Amino acid sequence: MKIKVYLEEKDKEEFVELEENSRVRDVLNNLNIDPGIVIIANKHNEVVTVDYVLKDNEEIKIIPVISGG
Amino acid sequence: MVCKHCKEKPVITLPNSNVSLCKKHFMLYFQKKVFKTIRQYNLIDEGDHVGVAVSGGKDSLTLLYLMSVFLEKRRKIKLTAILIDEGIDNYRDKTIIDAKKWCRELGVPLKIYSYKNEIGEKLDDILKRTKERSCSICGVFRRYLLNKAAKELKIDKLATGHNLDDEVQSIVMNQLKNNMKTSARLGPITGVKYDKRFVKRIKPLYFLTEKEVMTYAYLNGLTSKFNACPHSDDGFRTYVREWINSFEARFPGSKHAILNSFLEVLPLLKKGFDVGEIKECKECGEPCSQKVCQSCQIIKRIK
Repeated sequence: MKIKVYLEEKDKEEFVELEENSRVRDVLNNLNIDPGIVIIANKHNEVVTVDYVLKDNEEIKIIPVISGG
Repeated sequence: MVCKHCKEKPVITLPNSNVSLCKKHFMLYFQKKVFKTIRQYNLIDEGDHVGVAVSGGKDSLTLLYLMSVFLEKRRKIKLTAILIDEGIDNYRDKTIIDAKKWCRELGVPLKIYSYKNEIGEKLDDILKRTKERSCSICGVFRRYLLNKAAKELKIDKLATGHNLDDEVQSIVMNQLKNNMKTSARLGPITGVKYDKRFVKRIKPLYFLTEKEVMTYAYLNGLTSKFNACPHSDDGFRTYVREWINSFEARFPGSKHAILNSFLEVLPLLKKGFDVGEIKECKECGEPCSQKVCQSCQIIKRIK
C-alpha cells in the first residue's frame, strides 16, 4: 500500500510503499526517523502514536518536536 | 494499544513508561504534572506577580496557557507576558503574531522589549558586522533584557518555558565542558542564592519532555508551522541534543535518569558553588560577577 507523508520540517511530501496493515512505526523506520523527536498527525489532524494502523492511500504529517530557535 | 484509563485511541505513549494516554487523559496528566512541579518546588507564592517569558513558540505558549489556567482559582496572583524582540526578520516577526494573539485570547498583558530600543540595534544588523556567535550574543542580551524588564515591571518570579530536554542538554553540556558552576544555577528555580537584583526564574515545564510539550501544544492549537531561526549556530548544543536523543532511542528512560540523578546532587552543587558577593556592572548597574557585565562587554566589542 501507498502512504502520503508530509514532512513539516522540510516542507515536502513523500510517498512510502508498505505492506498491508503497516503502522506509523513502519513509515518512520522506512524514512529513518526517530519516533522520539516527532509527533504524527493523520489527515483529520488527530495525533496518533507509532502503533496506529494505516490504510492504503492514507495521509500523515510528521511534525518535529524541536523548536527552531 | 489503548488509553490506560478509558480505552480510547491514544495520542502518546509516555516516554518514561509504556503507558498510553488518549487526548483527554494526556491533557489531564500534563496539567497535573505542571501544577505539581509548581507546588512541590514552591515556584509561586500567593500574591506573586509572575512574568512569563514568551517567544510565540510552542514551549512558551504552552506555559502561558497553563499559567493562565493555574491562576483561574488563584486570583491574588498577577500575570504579565514579556517578549524579547531581537529583531530577526522572517522569524521573530512571525512568532510575535502568535504571542500577541494568545495574550489577547487569554487576557494576559504583553510587554515587548526590543534590541532596537534597548541595545540600539536589531540582531540582524549587529550580525552583519561582527564575527561573534549569534547564539552567544542573543543568550546574553536576552537574559539581560528579561531581568531588566522583570525588575521594571515589578515581577517577583519569571517563568520560562524550559522543558526536560533543555535541562538535560544543559546538564550534559556543562559536564562535557567541566562547567559545574553553571550547572549549580540550574534546577526548577534558577540561581544559587537569593539576590533581589536578580529576578527568580522558574521552570514549570521542568519535568515534561519536548515531545510531551509539543503534543500538548499541538492538541491545544498552540503551534505554528515549523519556523527555524536563520541565525541559529549553537553547534555544540545541537550535537549534544542529537547524541542524547539517539541514546534515549536505544536506552529509553535515559533522559529522566540524567535529570533525576542531577537533582539528587543539585543541593550539594548549590552549596559548593556559592557565588560570593554579587557586584553591580559599572556601566549599566545590572548585577554581575565581574566589574562589567557580559552584556556591556559585548556592546563594547560590537560597537
